[in-house]
Amino acid sequence: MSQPVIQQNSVPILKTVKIRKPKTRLYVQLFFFFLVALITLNKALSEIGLSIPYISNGSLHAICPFGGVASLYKFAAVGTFVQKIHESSFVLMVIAFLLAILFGPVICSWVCPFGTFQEWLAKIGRKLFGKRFNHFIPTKVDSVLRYLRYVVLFLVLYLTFTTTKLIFQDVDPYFALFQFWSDEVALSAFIILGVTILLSLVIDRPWCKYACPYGAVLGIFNLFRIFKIRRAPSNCTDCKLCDRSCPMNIPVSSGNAVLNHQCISCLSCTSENSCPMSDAVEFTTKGGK
Amino acid sequence: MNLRSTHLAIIIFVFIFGGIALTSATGYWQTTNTKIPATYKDGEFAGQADPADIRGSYTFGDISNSFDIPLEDLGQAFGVDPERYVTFQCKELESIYASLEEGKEVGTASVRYFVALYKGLPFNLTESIYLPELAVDILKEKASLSEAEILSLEEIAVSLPASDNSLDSSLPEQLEHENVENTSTDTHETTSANTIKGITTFQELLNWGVLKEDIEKILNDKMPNPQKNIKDYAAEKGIEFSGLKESMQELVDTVKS
Ligand code: SF4
Ligand code: SF4
Repeated sequence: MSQPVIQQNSVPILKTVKIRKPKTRLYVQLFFFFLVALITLNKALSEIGLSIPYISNGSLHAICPFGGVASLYKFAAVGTFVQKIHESSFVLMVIAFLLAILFGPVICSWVCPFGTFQEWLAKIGRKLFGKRFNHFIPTKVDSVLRYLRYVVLFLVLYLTFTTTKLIFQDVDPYFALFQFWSDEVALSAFIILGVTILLSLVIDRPWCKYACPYGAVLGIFNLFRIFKIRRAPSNCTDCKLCDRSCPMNIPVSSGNAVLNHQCISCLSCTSENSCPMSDAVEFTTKGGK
Repeated sequence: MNLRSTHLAIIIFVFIFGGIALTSATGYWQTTNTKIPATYKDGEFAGQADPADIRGSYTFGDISNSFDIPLEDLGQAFGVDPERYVTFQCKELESIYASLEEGKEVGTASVRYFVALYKGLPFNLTESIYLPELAVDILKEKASLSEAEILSLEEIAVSLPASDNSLDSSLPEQLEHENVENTSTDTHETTSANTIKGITTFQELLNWGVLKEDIEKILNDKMPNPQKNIKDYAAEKGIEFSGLKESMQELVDTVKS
């Protein structure tokens, strides 16, 4: 049976004009990062009788969709949430799930302030280590480690269920980062934050890749989400720029669609961003256009 | 269909803020607790509120409503200022009982235990829980306890610390001034570094060495019950708390320097 021939060495005469990379995602990330920072600041101010107008003073837990996931069992069993979690976490969880069914873990790449924080550290890492950045761990070891976050997810859900407390708070680096002044943060969370900061200088998004239980939940949606990263082999020159641009080290160029549970829908690999060929890597529905 | 960054950005905003707007409109969006404890799922007490679900943010008012316990009993048991019975949050107990000897603690867990004993509800004791002596007295009087239970309660009874942070306002008026003089040279660390916060009481100002006369000058009125917190006072009088706080802080800082 004849295999489709993919032209590897000759660059087809296609629309290759490169546009400037859009900064849309960066702006959206900045917006959510500062919104969350302002909300946590406002919560602290409200405790001393002050407040920032028009900004919610809910706690960090109240605006975390993972709180909803951690509470699911208790909610189903007795109709209430685990301590510190409120209806808002549930609403955000549902919104995040709807987005994930359609587009995958966009919350990770566009909204989550901790993902954004790691990306900023990655910029320093890239300066320090150049092309070696994000390629220090041998592929075999790395591919096993990528499932570690499901172990974390299982432990968090199990312990939350058995203790009915928000057990994850004690190891959550995101909570430590945004509440560093509060005595609610456990030493263990600070240690994990410190380790994540150091690792972020050599690996892109280490927390997301190996440990984040919420990333693990959202990653499952990659298997059946509606909009996928799709590659058109006929337009591809196999330059592998898409592979190199992927923060999650996914070999985009080796398939026709990305189904990897680690994809975060950042769109870095697309023709709009890194791929030099127009219409080669797109974020589309099946049969796209 | 093919999406680009801008489309995705717009969709994300619409989903998140549209979802929040929609649920706010229906009243489901809540970023704070509804303060209704979970109920026992099965057994003899199925359907009744479970004290184990009382959280630090629950006020004595919430607990009184959910468990049908008179506010006075709750307030007296834990030595709370009668004016704050309704709004007093369980987590504030830690500051009243901060000076208990090491290893002993009166906090939200103590309230859970008290409520369970008071109402005769099942409670799973997984840690050592201490109760104020007053709480034990009230339980002896109002709860149906066995001899053995009473004995074990006496073992876990702690007395209300003679701390300046106590919210018990039963001190006679004339003692207040004495108190000022006795404590003015002490450094009390009840609020960190003598900084006025929402929960700071007039008593704390006195303890930090601020004179009652100076406070009254700023208030342009008689000082209220010293156990009242400044923020509540400001709210009652319709004064802006931040302004009042600033003036009071100046007084505190003058004393410190
Ligand atoms: S994987 Fe976790 S930390 Fe990373 S972006 Fe997603 S939610 Fe945030
Ligand atoms: S670069 Fe592409 S494949 Fe990699 S995470 Fe982003 S969208 Fe997914």
